[in-house]
Amino acid sequence: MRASASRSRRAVRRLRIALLPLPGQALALTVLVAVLAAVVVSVPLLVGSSEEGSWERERARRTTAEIGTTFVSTTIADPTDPEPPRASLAGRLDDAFTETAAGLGLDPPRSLVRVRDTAFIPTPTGLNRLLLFSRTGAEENVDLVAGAPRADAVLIPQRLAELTGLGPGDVLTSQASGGTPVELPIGGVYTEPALPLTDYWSGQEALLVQPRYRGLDDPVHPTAAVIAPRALVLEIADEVESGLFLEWFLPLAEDLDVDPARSAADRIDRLRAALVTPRGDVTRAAAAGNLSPPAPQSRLPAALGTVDRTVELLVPPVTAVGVGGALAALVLVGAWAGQRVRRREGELRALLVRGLSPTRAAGIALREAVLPTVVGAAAGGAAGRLLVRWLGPSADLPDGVATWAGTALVIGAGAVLVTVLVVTAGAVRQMDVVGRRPRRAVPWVAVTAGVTVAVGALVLTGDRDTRGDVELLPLVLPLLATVVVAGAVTALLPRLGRRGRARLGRLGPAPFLALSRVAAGRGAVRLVVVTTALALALVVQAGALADSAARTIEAKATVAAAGDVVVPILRRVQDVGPSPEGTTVVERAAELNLTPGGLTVDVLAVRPGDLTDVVRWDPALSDRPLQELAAALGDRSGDRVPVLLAGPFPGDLGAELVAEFGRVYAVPVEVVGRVAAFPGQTTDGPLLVADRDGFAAAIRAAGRDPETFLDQELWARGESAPLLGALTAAGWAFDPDQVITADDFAARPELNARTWSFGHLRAVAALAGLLGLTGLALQAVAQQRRRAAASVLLTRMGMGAGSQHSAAALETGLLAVLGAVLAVAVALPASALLVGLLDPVPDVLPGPLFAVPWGTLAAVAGGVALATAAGALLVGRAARQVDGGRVMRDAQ
Amino acid sequence: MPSEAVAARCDGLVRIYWSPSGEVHALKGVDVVVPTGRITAITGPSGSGKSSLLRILAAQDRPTAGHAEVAGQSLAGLSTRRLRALRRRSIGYVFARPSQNLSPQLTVREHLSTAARLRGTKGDDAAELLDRLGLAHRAGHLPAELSGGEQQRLALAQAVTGGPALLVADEPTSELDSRTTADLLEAVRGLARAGTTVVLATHDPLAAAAADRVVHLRSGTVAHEEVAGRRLAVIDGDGRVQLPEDALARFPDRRALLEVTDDGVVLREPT
Repeated sequence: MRASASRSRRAVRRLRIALLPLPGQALALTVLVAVLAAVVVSVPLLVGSSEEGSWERERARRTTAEIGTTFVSTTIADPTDPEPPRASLAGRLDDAFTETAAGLGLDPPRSLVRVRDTAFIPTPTGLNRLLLFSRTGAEENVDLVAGAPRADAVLIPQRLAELTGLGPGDVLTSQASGGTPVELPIGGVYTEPALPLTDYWSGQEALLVQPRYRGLDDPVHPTAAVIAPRALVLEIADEVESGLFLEWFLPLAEDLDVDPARSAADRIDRLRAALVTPRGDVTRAAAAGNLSPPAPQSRLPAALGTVDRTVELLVPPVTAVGVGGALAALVLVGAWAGQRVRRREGELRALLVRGLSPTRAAGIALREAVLPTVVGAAAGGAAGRLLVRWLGPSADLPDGVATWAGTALVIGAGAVLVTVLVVTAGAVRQMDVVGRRPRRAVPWVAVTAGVTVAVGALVLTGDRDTRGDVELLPLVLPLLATVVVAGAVTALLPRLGRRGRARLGRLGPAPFLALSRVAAGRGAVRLVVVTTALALALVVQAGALADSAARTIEAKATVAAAGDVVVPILRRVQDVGPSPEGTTVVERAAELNLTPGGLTVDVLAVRPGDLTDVVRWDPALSDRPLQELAAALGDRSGDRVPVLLAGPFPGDLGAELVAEFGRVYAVPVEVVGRVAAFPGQTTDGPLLVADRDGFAAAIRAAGRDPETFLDQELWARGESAPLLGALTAAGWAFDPDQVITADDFAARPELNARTWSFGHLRAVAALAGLLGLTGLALQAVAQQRRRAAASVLLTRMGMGAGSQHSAAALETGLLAVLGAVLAVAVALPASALLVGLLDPVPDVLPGPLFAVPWGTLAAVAGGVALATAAGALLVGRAARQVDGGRVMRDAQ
Repeated sequence: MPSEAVAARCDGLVRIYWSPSGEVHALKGVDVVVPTGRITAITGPSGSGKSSLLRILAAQDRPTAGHAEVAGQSLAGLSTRRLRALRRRSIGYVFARPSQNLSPQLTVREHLSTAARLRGTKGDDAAELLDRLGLAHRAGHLPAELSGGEQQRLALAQAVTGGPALLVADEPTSELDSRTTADLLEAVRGLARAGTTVVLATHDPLAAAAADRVVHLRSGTVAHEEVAGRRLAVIDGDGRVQLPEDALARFPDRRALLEVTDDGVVLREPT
């Protein structure tokens, strides 16, 4: 028993010696691999999360009716047909449709069959239009106040029941437009669904919402939606010789992820194909019943298209950042492998002189790297998943992403092991070579400077971003510039140190020691400053790009959506009285000729007094406040119409101009201000913003009717749904599809892709910054170990431990601050240059705006302070652990 | 001098290194013979070429010119791989500092088993070696738990595991006190008695005294050899003789009259 336990212990020890001989070294590799793994898996995970998140946003923006698919068909009127097909044949089409859908695995559609021709019901308050229809499940989705559904009777709305005094058991009498009487036995009375309609009734506003066609010449009759069994609807249609309107609604299930949504779209596509098959049941039934082939209407393909476009835009920058981050992490893994060889140089040399081959040494390193790599990969993968889950666009992921992420993780782990193998073999091979002729050092600063110039030239002279794509090359430019400047500055440090030697001598021991060590500018100082500057430059750059993108998107949103909602008004029905409270009506004219100068401009005519309450204003649009611009627009003291020039106008344009619409009218205008863009500007071309009344008066003065030439829009703040409801109720006529909201702009794929990709860059940069500052602190400790003998000597010469610790802390702080200052000084202006090249939505003004990332800069400052404090603590601890006698013995 | 079996031989050995400041001639035609089963000490001031000679004898380096033969194999033209194989098979090496020879995470027993694995043997001699070097009772200890002398004896043990043709030790006693040095040298003598050929580079008179042959280097050349208490000048194959320092001081103009007599060869200052 005891022998068995001993054997087990020995086996465990052998395993530990083989796999984990030095836990400290293994821990460092584990952390690096975890970072690499998190970066690597972040690519597929973020892309997947963005796909899902984009879908969720699109789904949330659409109503049930919009995102579902509706197939419609109607009777094709043929006046030459002496005996049109019987309406009951439409039932066959309905059945054939339902069977075809079921055959493709789709849920049974909600079939609606409605008598198309108008019939009227007399009531004490006048005629009501009869809307007789059947819909699958309609009876179960209304609240009955009297009676019950019956196979031979209809359900009438409560309003109609109260008007006519009819109820269950009575007969509703109506008259079709041809004079044919219609008698409908009443089975029950239901309460009209309240607005907003439930998901079941979504899209059926035409049946259930009373029409308000104010402004039209046609009389307006209230409608009465009468629910009937399908057989009864078909029978009545035959009786009155009416055409039919058929509709099949295939709802998309709630909370559906993107993959099931795609599957649903595929099934709908197959259904659509099946419906138009020449010999199919549906085609034959439609032809027999003289009905049009069922045609689909859905926003699902558009929503999925937006998702695809978002992913398409997101993949290149996220992949670039992920691959770049992974390569950087691999470089650090290589540095770890090199450091491992260095730290275990004695052990390796002892083995080399006994015939150990570099390959075998690399094999040992590989064996020791396996466990940290596996643990690090697992931890990093899990951390990446959690971070994307918490901070990503969606907590859920599409199918296949986990496999993709797992594959990326395995490849990353494999790359780590190969890197350890190759670097160790190379380092050990170098160690094994004696007396080789020295190689000339590569002037890396000059080489990097050359590469930077070349990249800069390519970026500045290349094609500008016109599709919202983010290229890799511009992203590396600030980093290259930082490396070059940091390398050059650290190369100058020794010269500065020599010049300032006299002044350094007047300092106390601790600052003298710290400054003289930094000023020596040795390899370690250069390495620390350059890597710290590079890591922090990435943080600064990511912060600048992300903040600037957010700032740009915010400014563009104010221009694209004016206020929150823009409702284009139908020109024919504009006589509806004043606009609702908190809204304003603006007018537009397109393609006027501006003289002198011959520019083609659009005109936006606004009421200056309404602007400040309605439009969103961004200070980036002008250096003058909106109130001041509005006051200038509203100043009618002159004989010209005051205008603002918005967008790209030549700088030498005069103040007094004339806007001409062909030879139809000409409006003399006076320029009272310039703005980069104006809310409601729909193109990136030049726009004149004028006082609406003044502009209309000028057109009238030219003998023309302004209403003929100007399109109207209503601008408002707040949610669109209540506003549109209020407008509908007030009789405003508009096309809901033309309504623009701030949410529509925010949902553009370019913006989501840009925001998410820069968020990813920011996360990777934060990891890089963290690693850089951690490396700085650990380098301080390693430096302390290397200087152990010097430290003992300084102690023996009378320099106190406190002064030495202060010197070490000051040195670490100086290196960190130098790195941070270089990062900010180079990366910030370089990023500002870069921001100008990265316009997420070039067709919407204003152009890209730069925002100083104050939060990021504060984080960098905090990180530098923390790293310095941590370095000081670790250095102090390392110094206390030193055995002075042993150090001096080893140093001999 | 009776003819002896030779474990290593160097003839006209030249080793030149390249440094940023130019070429460094570390060895300038060294002739050394290392007899089998004996202890050979190499002494000389710093920069005299001890380490360079030792590296060549340990098959860690190749000469720039001249001939070196170790364990019956000429180093000339040997690839790095074959050089490594020669080291693995035929040479044991001990660094000056005990910590340089050992892995801190391995016990005494594990050091020997690792060394045996590297040499391609089964490590059957481990128990005997531990016993002979007085480490049997420390077999389960880590290097940090051993004294300096024990660490260096362990280094010797792992270096001779598998019976290499040549044991090369660079200042093996430099870190040890006199008592421990004496113990270690006794252990080395024991290894030599058992047939191991030992080459030591040393500044330590005790170590030099323990050697059967002492080769004294000066400025990359052999100043003289001491065998059985007699100081011998070395004559290379081209007839060059390296004079000892006190003899050299007699010839400030670097010129001598040479007389060959029945008793020998006489050098005189020219008059």
